[in-house]
Amino acid sequence: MKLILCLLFLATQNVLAEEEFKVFVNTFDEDIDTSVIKSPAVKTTVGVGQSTSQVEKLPDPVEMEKIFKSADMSDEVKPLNQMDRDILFMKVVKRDLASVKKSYPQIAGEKLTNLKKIIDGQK
Amino acid sequence: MKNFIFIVTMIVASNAWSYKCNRSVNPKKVVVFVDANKSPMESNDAERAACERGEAFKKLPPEGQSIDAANLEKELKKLADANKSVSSMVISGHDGGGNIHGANGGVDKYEVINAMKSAYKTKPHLLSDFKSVFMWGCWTMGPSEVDIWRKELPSLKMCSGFFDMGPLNTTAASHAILHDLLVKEKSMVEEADQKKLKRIVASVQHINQTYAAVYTEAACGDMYYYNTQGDGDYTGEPTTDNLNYSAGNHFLDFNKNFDCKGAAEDIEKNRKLLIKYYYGELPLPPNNAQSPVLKIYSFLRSHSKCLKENHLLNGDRVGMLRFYDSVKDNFAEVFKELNQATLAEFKHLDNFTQKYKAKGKPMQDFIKYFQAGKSAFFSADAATLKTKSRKDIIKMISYLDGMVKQPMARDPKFTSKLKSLKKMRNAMETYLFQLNPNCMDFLDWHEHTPGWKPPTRCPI
Repeated sequence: MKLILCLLFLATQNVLAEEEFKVFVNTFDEDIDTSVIKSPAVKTTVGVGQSTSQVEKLPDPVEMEKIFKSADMSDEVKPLNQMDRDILFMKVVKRDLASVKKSYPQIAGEKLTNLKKIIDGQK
Repeated sequence: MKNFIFIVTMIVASNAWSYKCNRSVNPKKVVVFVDANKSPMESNDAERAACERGEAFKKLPPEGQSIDAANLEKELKKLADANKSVSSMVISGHDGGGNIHGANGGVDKYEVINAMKSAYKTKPHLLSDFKSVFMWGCWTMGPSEVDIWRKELPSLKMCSGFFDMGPLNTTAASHAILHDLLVKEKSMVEEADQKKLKRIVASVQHINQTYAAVYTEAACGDMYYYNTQGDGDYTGEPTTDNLNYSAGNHFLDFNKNFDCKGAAEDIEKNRKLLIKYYYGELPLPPNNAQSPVLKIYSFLRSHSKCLKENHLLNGDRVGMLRFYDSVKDNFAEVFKELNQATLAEFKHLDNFTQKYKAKGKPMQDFIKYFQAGKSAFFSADAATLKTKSRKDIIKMISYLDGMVKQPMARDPKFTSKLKSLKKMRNAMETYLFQLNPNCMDFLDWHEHTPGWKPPTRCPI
């Protein structure tokens, strides 16, 4: 009897020691129907989940254009698409001005300095 | 003598800046003034306005300290713990790309939003008392900024700041406008009649001398946005074509600006196309002016107001798709050592599986994933990786996934031999497939400079 109890105890311990089986499902496409895999063992995330965005923090395109205009850079940014404008703006905000000037030889250095001053605030 | 005059001037000035409220105030409602750039006149006028409103006043940072996201949250938490609500908050300083800063430190709008949400997370009834925000820096309250505040903190009924450059903090305009708006806030929010609302705004001292912007949401739900330039015919999406910045006071009917119903179909179209590129169903287009990825980006930038939070159409992610070749180059640079270790593990596993196979061990499932040639995906200098498409990379991740998740991989003999493979799988998923903006900065990852490693923010 003691032996049976002992064996039962050992068997239970083995079951408890077994790592809980979990499946993580992340669907980036919100259209995918995940209801069929609903189970306590399945952790489903629909969509992209919490994510930060540097781009979201930028002024909207109209406001950004005004800022470029204030720095007398309307002509320089005219040929740039919105993403390239955003990259230029982010670089001026985040990077060392000397390296920005090097990356944009087509834009006069003073204009970039001016843009930096404007963005950094003249209030 | 000069020194004496200077000292007297300073004493007079500092007295003039220290305001004392001589009426009883409700200590449970607090106007918070965050002084990022030593603006005593604005602080003084905000305190005076709080007193006139019959509310308490708190200036941050405390004397001798500086302000940052953590300090702000700590101070707000103290208020929440004392069951005090923030009725209005003023953040004053220079604005640098959404970050209000100065001699006393700085915070950006998302840090303010997160600090409020976090400090009051267990007391939503107090958070709902937060009615107005004043971002006293340049370019702080264009229509898109207003929309962020409205979305993040729906209790806000008034958002004010500057849609262009703000006045210097030493000018009368900077502090007088702040004072008047704080005092007139209640009547402005209660006023649903446009004409009367215009009259109240017009009565704010110096408002026409600045680029001040004021958004109000009336009790009836009508929303108005005022700035001192523009023609008032602002409907639909703000583009340079339909937004005329001619001088003159005007009101924008905010109710019209953010009707996104018309854009819903296009949002869906763009989302579906992006998914195809994202999952490798379509090969990424060449990076030129006609690139559909670029078009998706421009679309999402002009429709940001209409996109749900955490939508797949995340600008950073779309940007990294456009520059996917540079992302791969950066990946190879960042994970150079891991690539070497993965190669070594492949080699080792090759011998190991052969040995087990010879002994007739049940290796079928494992070997199924470990077919000859798969390891050729990796090479010493990661050159092969750079040539792979998103489709190939996704396949490779699922292959690695299959290997590291096989029951055989739980065998302690195996576990130690799969460390790098596991890490490589995680790194590829985060940095090559997901292009997770939480882990990689778009600006850093979008271009490759040999020898330079862009930072990785997530452990693998």
